[in-house]
Amino acid sequence: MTACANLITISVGSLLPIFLYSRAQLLALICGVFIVASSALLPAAQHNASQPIRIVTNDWSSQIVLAHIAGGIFEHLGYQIEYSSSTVAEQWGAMALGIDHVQVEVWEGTMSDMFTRMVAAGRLVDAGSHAAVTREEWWYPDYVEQLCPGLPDWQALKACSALFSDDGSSTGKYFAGPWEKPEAARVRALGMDFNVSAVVEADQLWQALEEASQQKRAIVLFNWTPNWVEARYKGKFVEFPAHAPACETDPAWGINPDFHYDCGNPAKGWLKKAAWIGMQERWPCAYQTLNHINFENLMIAQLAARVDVDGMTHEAAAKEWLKNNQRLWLSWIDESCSETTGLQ
Amino acid sequence: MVNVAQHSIAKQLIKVVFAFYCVIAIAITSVHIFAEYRYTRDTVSQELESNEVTFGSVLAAALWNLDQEQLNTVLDAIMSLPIVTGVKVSQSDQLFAAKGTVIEGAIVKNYPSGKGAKPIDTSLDSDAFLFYEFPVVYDYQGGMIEIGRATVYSSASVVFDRVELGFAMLIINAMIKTLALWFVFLWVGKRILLEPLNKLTQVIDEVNLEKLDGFSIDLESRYQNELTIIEDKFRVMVGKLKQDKIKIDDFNRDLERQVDVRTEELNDAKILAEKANNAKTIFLSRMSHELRTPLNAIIGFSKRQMRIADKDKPEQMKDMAETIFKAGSHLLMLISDIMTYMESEQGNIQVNLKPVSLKKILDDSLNMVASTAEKYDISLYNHCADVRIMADPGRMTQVVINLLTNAIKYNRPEGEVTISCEEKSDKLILHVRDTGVGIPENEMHKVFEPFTRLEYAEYQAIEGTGIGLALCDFLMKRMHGDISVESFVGEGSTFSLTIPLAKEVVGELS
Repeated sequence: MTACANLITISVGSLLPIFLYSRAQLLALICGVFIVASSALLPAAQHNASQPIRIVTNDWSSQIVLAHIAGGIFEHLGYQIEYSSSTVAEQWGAMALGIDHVQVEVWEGTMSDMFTRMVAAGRLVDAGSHAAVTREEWWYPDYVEQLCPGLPDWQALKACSALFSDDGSSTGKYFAGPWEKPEAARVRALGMDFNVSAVVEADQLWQALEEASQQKRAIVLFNWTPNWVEARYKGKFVEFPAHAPACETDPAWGINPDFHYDCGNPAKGWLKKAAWIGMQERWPCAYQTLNHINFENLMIAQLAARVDVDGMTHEAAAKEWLKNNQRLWLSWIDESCSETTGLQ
Repeated sequence: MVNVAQHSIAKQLIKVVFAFYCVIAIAITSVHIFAEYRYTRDTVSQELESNEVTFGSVLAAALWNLDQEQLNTVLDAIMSLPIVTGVKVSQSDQLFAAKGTVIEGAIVKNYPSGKGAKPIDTSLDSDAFLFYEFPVVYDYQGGMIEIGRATVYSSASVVFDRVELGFAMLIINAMIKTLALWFVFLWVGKRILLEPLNKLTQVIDEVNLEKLDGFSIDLESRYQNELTIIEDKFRVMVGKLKQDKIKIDDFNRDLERQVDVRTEELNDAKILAEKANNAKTIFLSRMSHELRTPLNAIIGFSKRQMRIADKDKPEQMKDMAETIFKAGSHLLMLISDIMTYMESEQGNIQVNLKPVSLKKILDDSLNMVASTAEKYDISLYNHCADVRIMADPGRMTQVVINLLTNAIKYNRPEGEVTISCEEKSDKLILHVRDTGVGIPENEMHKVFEPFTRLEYAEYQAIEGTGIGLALCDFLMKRMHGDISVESFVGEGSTFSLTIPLAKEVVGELS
């Protein structure tokens, strides 16, 4: 391009019959035409690139903080950012249609089906996995092992279900998360004497945990990792029969030949990032950076704790992290993008 | 009886009414069927449209999540609707899912229900399909987002299948109504119209003007209607006809009598005409004789006078000359009478009325007939004073000479002819009376008829043409006068002339 500019400087102002031009002058002329054509097309490209990148935020803290961290990095690259508050169920269609563009936490345990479907349909791109290993499962504080020996084996729960009752009956109570999970199906398939009590918001889970911990009362609730809970409470996941895909599709599989879900959730699930199929073309640096974004379990748990325990806002927690970990996230940006830190 | 079976009112009524009713029934049924089809088509369209409300949200959910299984379930549910023949869902102009028969571009394709089955192009006409396309919208973050379009298809055969029974019922209904109405019309028409009409026609056809006395009509109708009015009127008409027939018969008889009378009169007229014609023939014969006699005399005496012209016989020459003169005068009078009569018949005769002296007329007339009176030894008397009358002097003289000549010719030997006058009001009556044989009563009516002579004159071979008195009658009427006769057989006749007096001399008659 620089060469072209030099050649144009030579040629402009000396418009002669074409047979009088030297080879260099002709090359300059061609370059000039190219530049003019490129400049004519540039506004369209800028227009597309200048459209805001819509990052999905869900209803749990770590995801929201990570979304703002990613947004901060994209803004650093010069992109416009919008945050789109969506439910897990609705986010897929929005991303498939290009309404929303980025999801920074795709959990295997709750989102693998839809994520896999969207990727297979060519509507979403797998933007790589975090280092974090995920698990979503029944969880209890460590002191409960003294009340119900045999834990973390699920059979122990089956034997001492009455300990988890809140109404004096023999039926225990399981605090399920606000997200749709096949908990009731699992209870039925495994023959457990538990009621599934789903909370409306995740905070209700932590409130129940806090109350039970203070009273050293037996409690079993939905939890996941990475999550801030693991940074503040000692506890373990209940070990159900190991998960296998056939457990969810074939009733004959597992200990109960009559029902699905006679198994636990995946024990070492992945945590991926997802991008709209058109993101790479429209916002290439953002896409490349998204692929490099990588969080570990502890990092995510600590970020969530800053919000859920320390009471920071998601934005503040994200800014704090960006400020304190600048070297890390700058390393996620490709050199070509770092040079310009603008639209590419 | 007249045969009207081919074009009877009954058949015409049945044919025309049935034809019209069929046409109207077909038209109404066609409109009904068309309306039914339109209504059913609209209903099907509305049912297709209702899929937007019924399946829109679940379609949107399935499409939002790209949940092919859920989408297939929804499409199967839509396809289970009886009217739906196909459904497709597209996203960003790309077909996302389809079942049944759908239209892509202008091609009708069939998507089999089996998993993995490929669409089959059909040769169906895309215009034969009804369809409703609606946007698939998803409520995301409070905003409605169109995430695709769904099209539900139904075919015209579905509409036809649905309205098939309705069509059949409509047609059957129309046919039953047509036949029922036709039979009712037939029965009622026959009962209240055709049978009375036939009876009326038969009665009218059998009406015999010669046998009206035996006529009777009864349509046996319980109610007053047009036909009973016709029946009543016809009965009244026949009654009048009877009366008129009697009058006509009387009139005919009277007419026949009048015809007989007229025939008789015509026969009489014919006889009269024949007599007139006969008289004319006799007149011509007589005229031939009358003309030939004086002419023979004129010719004969003329030759004789030529032979003796060189001899000195003056007396004989005078006699001959007198004879020639008389014959010529007679011939002149005859020709003059004939010419005058012919002029009178043609209406060409002219009279010049003016006050004239009666004495001069009578003197001239008496002079003219003096020699004839002397020949027949008849004495002439004139008792009239001189008065002035309004007359044509020549014509009046001609009339008087005629009367005097007849009075001389038909007189007895040594008889008399007397002229007398009398005044009545402003008229003068001139009587010429002879003492001759008189005129029989039965011949008095033909005295003034032309070409007619008395039997006595014929028998006695008295000279005359038979037009003299007819000419007198004509001339007197032309001069506002009149002529009449009074006669007694064996005593003589008196002819009377009535002529207006000249005004300046009225009252001068002595």
